[in-house]
Amino acid sequence: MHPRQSLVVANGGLGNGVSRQELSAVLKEFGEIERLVMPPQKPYAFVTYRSEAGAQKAHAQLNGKSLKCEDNVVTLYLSYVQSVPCEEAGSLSLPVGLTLLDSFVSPEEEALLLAALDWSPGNDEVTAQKAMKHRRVKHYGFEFRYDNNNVDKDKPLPAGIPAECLPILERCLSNQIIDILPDQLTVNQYESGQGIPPHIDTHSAFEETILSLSLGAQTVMDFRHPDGGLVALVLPGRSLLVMKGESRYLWTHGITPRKCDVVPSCDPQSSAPVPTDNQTQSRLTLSRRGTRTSFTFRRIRHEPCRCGFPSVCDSQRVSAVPEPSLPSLPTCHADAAHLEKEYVHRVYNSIAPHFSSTRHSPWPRVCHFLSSLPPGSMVADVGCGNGKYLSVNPEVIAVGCDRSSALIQICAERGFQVFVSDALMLPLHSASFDACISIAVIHHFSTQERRLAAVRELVRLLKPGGQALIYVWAYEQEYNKQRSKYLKEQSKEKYSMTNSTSNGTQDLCERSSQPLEDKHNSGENIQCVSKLADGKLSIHTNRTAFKSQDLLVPWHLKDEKIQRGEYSGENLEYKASSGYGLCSGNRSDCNPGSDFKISIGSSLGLSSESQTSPDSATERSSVTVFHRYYHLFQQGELEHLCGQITGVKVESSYHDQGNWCVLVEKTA
Amino acid sequence: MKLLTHNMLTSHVKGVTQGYPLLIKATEVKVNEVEFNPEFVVKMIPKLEWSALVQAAEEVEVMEGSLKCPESGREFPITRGIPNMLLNEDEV
Repeated sequence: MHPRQSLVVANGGLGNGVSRQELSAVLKEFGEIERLVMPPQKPYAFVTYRSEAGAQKAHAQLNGKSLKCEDNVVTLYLSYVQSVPCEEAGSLSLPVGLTLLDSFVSPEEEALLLAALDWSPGNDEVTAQKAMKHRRVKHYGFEFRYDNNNVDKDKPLPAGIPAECLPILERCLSNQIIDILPDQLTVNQYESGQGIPPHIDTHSAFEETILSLSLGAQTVMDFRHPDGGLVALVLPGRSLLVMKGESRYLWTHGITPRKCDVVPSCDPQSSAPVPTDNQTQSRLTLSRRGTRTSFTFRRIRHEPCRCGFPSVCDSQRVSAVPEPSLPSLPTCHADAAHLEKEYVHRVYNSIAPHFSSTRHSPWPRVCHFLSSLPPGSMVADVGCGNGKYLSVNPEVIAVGCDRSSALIQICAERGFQVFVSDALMLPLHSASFDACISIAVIHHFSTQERRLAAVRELVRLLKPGGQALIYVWAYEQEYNKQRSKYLKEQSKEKYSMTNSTSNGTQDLCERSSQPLEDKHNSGENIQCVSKLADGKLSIHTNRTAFKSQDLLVPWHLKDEKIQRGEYSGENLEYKASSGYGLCSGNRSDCNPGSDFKISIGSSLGLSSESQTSPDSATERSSVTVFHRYYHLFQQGELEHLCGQITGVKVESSYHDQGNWCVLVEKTA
Repeated sequence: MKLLTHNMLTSHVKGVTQGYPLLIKATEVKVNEVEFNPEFVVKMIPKLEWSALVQAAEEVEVMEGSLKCPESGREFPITRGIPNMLLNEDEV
């Protein structure tokens, strides 16, 4: 391909609300187009002209010009590119057990079904009609209750499934799509811009096969596997979606609230042959959503679910999965790396949004250190978490890194310069930084050698005369007859047993979590062992004095439903500080079996951890508990650690609200 | 990843001595038009490795691509603007 035939069209992308038709129409004015590639969600497109002259004309006449689209006006910027990226076509295989049947009902049947709905206010009690934040809902046969994600099986609604639905259901029966008629119907109506959070329909409430009939406008539904796999499926109007097996029991499905979808183009004018490896890429366009109404037909389950997916099955999850054994304190590097992988890295990646929402108040003395640096200083924040220290002093040049990619993603969204890396091996030049900070990081390393190596890396980064400030959690939570705020919150914690949100001054003291594999939700904190039996780490009880230096500290990842109750103030704070729109949605928007944490970005199997169990009314059993490994530093331990490094002087040390802190200077 | 961040990064592959600058392979680049801040530029000038920065402009941000160690060829991916500099366990 000649390098002067291809152009990138900045601001002319699907992510900017520019459709293929709109862009193609204006680009064609300058010559014959060989290929137009519009990557999904991106604010740009690539065009290749048949002739160099076409590209020249487009570049000369279109650069800097406005393009008026249906919803907005964008300014186009064109630049030549050597080659157009050929991204791999995404895997289009459907989740196992998922079937989509096009044009399952006729336009006449569609009109009949829509006419059978009466959205007038008088029908509230008969069909359990509600206006959710992002859609309207009606129930027939049985009401699905969004407060406990289940149905009252002995309380059917006055209105059964409408008669207008029966011919369609009979057709499903005769086509062997189902083998028994449904007895529950949920009707969702979505206007453009509305959606439904990712969820799995509650296992214990409904039998296996679920039918979803789409009427009106088409939309895109996202299916997500616990391992992170994502399938975006276009649901045309009048299509029937059949969910069985994995797609019914294991994958979450949801509709992102937005006004446009990226869908395959059916432009007959794009007839030029293109390579098959990027055919999907070069044939995408925007589809503006209209009003969609879905009919979800289900059959009430009367026995516990026995599906093959116990990790996400509320019938099986409570009793079937044994509690994993607690890890031992590592004695070698490989064991330490494994422990930290399971009890630090995986946990922080799982709790990152929630953890970040509780981390907004910086430690004042850290801020003072940063603010006192001369303008233009180079600062490295090693273990920057959600980046709350990166903006303290806008006069310095700050770069941050963290082992948790999920926390780093939060930093990047806040506009900070960050990268993912391990504090034991930093890809930064030696002797190039004026200052470093390491706040609440080194206490997660599980051997003395690794803690020393972490400090050594910090010092390596410093120029001679540069200083590093290190904070670690203190074993002594009572110092000079003063209890830390961590302990002072004890009575409050006993009341709101699983509360983990608080003001920022208790940052380091809020942290606790358990491995993802652990299915238990309650009673664990009672296991407070005074010493390491068989060398195994014990689980700390939050807000109590530490009883050993090495232990696992629980983190309670709350279900949104719980926060809604008597902790409304704290929940509002959580909502306010969270950067995730779905998180600030109305809790009643949660659908059957939904996991709110999934909707805020996690794909690490949380849907299997925190689904609400209908058998338990108590608060504790609706909370996912993670455990994080901590080494609690004793007085003088951090200074001694730093003193083992040549060329380092401990400038000062202090106890700050339950943390041991040192300021070290590099002398050589 | 802004080019200023790239300027600070170096390869930490075991045994590598000439790990700087990391080679940029970009598949998606974002050009930000930022305000010119004379004071900031004055402070940055003495701190930059100029031979590395010469290869690109200040306002460019790499969104998708990779950083390649010039000596070992080890590539570090950049996704959504974030470099991932983690080494595998067998590399440390």
